[in-house]
Amino acid sequence: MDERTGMTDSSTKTRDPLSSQAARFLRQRLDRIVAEWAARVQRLPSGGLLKQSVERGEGVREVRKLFSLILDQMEHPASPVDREVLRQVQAGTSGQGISAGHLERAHLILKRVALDLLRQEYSAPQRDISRMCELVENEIDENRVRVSEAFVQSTQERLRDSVEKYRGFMRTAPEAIFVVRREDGLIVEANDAAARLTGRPIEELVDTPLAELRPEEDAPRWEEVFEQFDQASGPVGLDDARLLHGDGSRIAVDVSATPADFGGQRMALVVARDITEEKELAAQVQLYADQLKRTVQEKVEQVAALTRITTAISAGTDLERIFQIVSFEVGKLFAFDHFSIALLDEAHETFHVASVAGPAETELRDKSVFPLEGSLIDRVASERKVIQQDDLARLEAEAEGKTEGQAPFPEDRLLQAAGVRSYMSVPLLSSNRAIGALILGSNRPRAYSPRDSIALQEIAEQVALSIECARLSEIERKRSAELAIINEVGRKAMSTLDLDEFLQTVAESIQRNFAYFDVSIFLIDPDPNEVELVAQSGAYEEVSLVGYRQPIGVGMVGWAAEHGQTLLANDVTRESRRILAFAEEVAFGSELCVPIHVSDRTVGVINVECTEKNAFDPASVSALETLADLISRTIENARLFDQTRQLKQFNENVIANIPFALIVLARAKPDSQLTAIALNEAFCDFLSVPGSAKPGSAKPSSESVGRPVSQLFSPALLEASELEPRLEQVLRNGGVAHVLNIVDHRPRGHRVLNFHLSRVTSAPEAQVLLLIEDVTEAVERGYRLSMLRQINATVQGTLELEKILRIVLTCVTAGEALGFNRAFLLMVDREQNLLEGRMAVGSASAEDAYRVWQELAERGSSLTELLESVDYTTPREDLPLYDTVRRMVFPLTDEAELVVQTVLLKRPFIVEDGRHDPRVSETFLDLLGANSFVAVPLIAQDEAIGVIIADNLYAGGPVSTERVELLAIFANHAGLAIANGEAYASLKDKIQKLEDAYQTLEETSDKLVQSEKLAAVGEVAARVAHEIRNPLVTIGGFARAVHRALDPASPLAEKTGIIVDEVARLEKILASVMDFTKPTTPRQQPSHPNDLVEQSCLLLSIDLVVRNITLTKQLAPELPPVMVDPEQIKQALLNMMKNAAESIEWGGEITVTTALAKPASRSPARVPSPDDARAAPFVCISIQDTGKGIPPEALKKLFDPFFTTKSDGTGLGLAVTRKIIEDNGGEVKVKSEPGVGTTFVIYLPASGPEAPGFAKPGWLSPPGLIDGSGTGA
Amino acid sequence: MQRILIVEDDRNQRLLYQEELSAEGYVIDVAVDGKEAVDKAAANPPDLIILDISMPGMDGIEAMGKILGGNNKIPIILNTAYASYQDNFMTWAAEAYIVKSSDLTQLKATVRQVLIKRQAEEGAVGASEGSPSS
Repeated sequence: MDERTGMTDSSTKTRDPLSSQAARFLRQRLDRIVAEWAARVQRLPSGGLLKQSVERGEGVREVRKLFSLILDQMEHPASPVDREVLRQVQAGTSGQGISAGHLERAHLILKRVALDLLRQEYSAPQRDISRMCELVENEIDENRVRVSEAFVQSTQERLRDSVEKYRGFMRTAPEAIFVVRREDGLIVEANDAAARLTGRPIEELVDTPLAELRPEEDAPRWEEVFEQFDQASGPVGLDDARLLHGDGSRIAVDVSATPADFGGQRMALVVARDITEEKELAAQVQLYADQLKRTVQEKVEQVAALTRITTAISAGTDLERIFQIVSFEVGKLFAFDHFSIALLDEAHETFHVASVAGPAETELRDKSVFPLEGSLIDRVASERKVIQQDDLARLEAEAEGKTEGQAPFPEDRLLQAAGVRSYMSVPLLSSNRAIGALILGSNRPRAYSPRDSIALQEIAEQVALSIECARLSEIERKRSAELAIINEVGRKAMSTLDLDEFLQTVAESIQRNFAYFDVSIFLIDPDPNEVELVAQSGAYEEVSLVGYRQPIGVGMVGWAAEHGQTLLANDVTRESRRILAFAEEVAFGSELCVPIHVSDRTVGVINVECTEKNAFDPASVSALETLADLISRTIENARLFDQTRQLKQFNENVIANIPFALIVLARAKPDSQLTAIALNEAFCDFLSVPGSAKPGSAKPSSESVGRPVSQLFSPALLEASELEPRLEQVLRNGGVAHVLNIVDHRPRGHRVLNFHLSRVTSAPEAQVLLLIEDVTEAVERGYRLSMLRQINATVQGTLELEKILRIVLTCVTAGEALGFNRAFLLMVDREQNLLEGRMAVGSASAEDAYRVWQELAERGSSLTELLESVDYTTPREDLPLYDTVRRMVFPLTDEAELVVQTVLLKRPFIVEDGRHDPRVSETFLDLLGANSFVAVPLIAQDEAIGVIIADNLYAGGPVSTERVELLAIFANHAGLAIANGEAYASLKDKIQKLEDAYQTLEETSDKLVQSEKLAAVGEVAARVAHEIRNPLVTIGGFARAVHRALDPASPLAEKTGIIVDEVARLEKILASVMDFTKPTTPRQQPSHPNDLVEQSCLLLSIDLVVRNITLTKQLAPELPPVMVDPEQIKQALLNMMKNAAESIEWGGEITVTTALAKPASRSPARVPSPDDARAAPFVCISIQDTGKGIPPEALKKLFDPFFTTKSDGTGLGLAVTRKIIEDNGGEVKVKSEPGVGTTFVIYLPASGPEAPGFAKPGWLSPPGLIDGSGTGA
Repeated sequence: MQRILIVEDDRNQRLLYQEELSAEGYVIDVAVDGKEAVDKAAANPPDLIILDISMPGMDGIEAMGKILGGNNKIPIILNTAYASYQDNFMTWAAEAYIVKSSDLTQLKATVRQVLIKRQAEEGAVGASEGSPSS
């Protein structure tokens, strides 16, 4: 409203009532008009945009508003509309390309629609209609004009906006922009960036020809671009052009020109981008690239030089030559005036110049030696870093000025003297160890850059490597010379035992091989504490005297003798300990004294002299020390020789007499087998089979010598001990080897051996000493004890008496254990005062025994394995000696019998010859079948509970006391175990009884639960049943009455018959339910089972016919009567038979059998108890059908109330049946196999002839009559 | 003409027994509960009483006790929907115990037997004392 009030009233026309009439009329038809309008638009041959807007729905919406507005105007001419129209036009046209033309068209169509409608449908005088049409037409036209005006206005506004935007863009653009009129080439517009770029204000730029901004030299390129421009429709570009700055400089720019039309004039929009910085950057990059190229080139040269150096170095080991090549190549890489290679000495105290290139007449020349400490070389080498001196002259000046800085090195002065101004020194590193340094010097200051130092370091690496190689090869050469002499001395030492002669040879060899000036050897004579010259070779040979003596501690020799240490004087003039022993000695050069030690004692000194200084390097010192060792060994050998000879004699005696078997083995040829070369008597005994060697027969030693190992030992033994590979190993590697506890299985018993192997080092060819120790006894004793423990563990580990007995006897007879042939176990029965044979283990015959032994020997099984392999479930009756042991029964009162004595006296007896032993009865010996045996008591808690009798019937040998003792110990343990087993057995009896009791309890509890279940059923059922029974009686009763009254042929009779039957069925179901609730005490009377069956079968007959079932009765004659309620039982039988019949459905068999059952077979699941035995027999009645059977899962619930598999059953039939049977003291069982059939078995207690009668309740009718019809299930 | 007193609280059943036994040729008297039965039996002793047990007020067993207490020569057949009363030794005093059924064959047969027996006893011993026994 505010908007409208703010507008001026543009309408002044008078209000015509027809106008508002027409408006109202049209407004009522607004929808139709708009729809018609849309339809007409759609029919237009052209006008795509208008059509589209209609399709989108916008057009319709907008026209509706528009027309509505027009109608408003007609009704209220004063309403201002301009702004609204303008808004509509903007909304309707913005972004959709709707033009003023489209709007005109829309109005025209609208006008036509409105007028057509008015003419056709408005009922009024023609005059009025014409007038109204006119009014409408006017109004629409007016609006059309308004819209067009608004449209123009809006277009202009947008145009203004565009221009503003364009100018804003121009102003703020970062690139310089010039608008150039092509016609005259004048700049029409330029922006701030253009002004900045060119250094001229915008005002100056405008109306200036663009050509004035370009330098002359670029003119042709500019022309060319603009020629392209005139032909192109898109932008054209000019890269790397130049523009003139206001100050006259040239600015590098990239230019692009875009064609544009402004007001019909062709313009070029020229954009210039300043690329000065980019160009500078490119120049920089180029510079770097060039530099890189140069560096690479240098590097290539260095690498080439290095390669040449490397080649030269690897070509030879001549250091001089290598140094020359290095200098030459370095010269190619670096300009130098001085190049030197300095090497450190071994002790790192000095260095010497190994090679130098440059002015020769300086102090820095070849081979000159300098102290290392504080030197340049020291610093470079120890710190492994490059030291560079840029200007020695300035350094000197600084040093004088006491300014801080690098302290000058001693070399600086020398280098300066050689004319060097600047230098660079790099370390020589070999395997990361500094061995020296290179110095590269120049007469110019600052001649070398850090980059040079890297190249020099690489060269230094190669040089170091070559120096190291050369050094090593030099050492190698020297060492080979030393080895030669050591070898010579060694040979000498081996071949001679005359010490003096040997020492003289040694002295001569040393002197000859090393070309020393003089070599002398002194020996210490401890008595007067002097050294004595014993050998000499060299310069003083003529002047000195062998036998010359000198006190220990005097002179260098004396010092070495006293301290036992090597003394080296590379410059004797500085060695204060040196004395001149005689006038001819020369007092210069070097001298070396090396002591000779024999087992920590100094016995002599080797003294070597040289005329030169520094003659001895560490290598030659160690060579002489090695020699000293050799000499000492020879001295020792000579001393030991006699002792050895004596020892040898002694050894031979020892070997011959020691109790161990001993054999020495060696190879006859390098690749032949090891053969025996010596052996002792014990070894011969070892080889011989016990008992087979005849006393006094020829010594087997002579036969065995020369035989190979494989013939001396059995293959099994060789394999078990791995003797051959071990012999080889010892032979090859020396040392000793022990092979312990090898079992040697032999036909009669085995033995346990320990092999000890050692190499005989003193013999010239390798020999092996094999010592064989027979440890059978010891091992067996230990084994038996451990076995005993094991048996105890096994025996104590079980409580099964039978198993314990078997284990005990098995242990007694096991070869690995006690090793008896047979074992009998007799136990004391205190109740009957008897000693009774219980069990025996062993073979029944000698053949069996040998067979068993054979198997055991082949298997080689241990006791544990044997015990595990025994089948303890074999009944003792099936064991071989059971017949024998069963007959061993002795009254404990028969004190004359030895076995009884064993029990009474509780001590073992050994019987060696039973036939002549008064303690043994003939009967017993006949029973045992052996003449010699052992009887041992089994003791448990100080009481003899039995006897073990063991013998060696088949092996036949005597029983050793040791074995008997072992057996006795064993018997003690066994006794305890057996006592435990017996205790356990009686305990088990008790447990069994408890278990039985528990089972009974459980059964009772089950029954209780069952009866509770039934009681619950009864309660519910009773309540419901009685409520139903009464009305049923009435219904059924009257139905029967009616039925009876009707003619049986009448149609009603059939229907009443159905009522009667249905009621009867209901009553039957009720009866079966209510029977539960009938807690009747069975009226038991002696009844004949067969009669019961016969009577039940009669009741079933109809079912049988209906289902085509054959009933077979197999009734046992002469069955005892059963004490039951006959009616209930008949009911139960009928139930079961009906059940059987129903399971058959159609065609099958039911077999009813009666029989007398043994009490035990009644319930196989239960352990028979004495109660059963005393109980009366049972009559069993079984009902077997060929029906569909009962699934196992259903079988369990079969007797539960309300359980049924039938669709029409109550699920009570079988529950009632069971209740009846149980009420009558019987039991019912069922077994079934689905698809085969089901068998119900009823067990009823048979009554004896004395079975008491039962007082029946005293009403008249026979109970069968009363119960049967009412409750038949 | 032998007269039977039917004691039954259920009207429809009463009607059933009345009709069925009338058809057998007996004279039927009815009582709706124990008390009426005792009164009627005392006033005019019938030859046989068919007695329901479960009834409101005085039940059949109590009624039987009172009836037999007054005249122990009237035979009583207990006719009940409950089989369980057989365990109650009081019921043993009855000549017969019948569980109700819509099939009245058994009831009729028992009635017949009891009446024959009663006639034979009356004929043989006259008015001898003692309860019937088997």
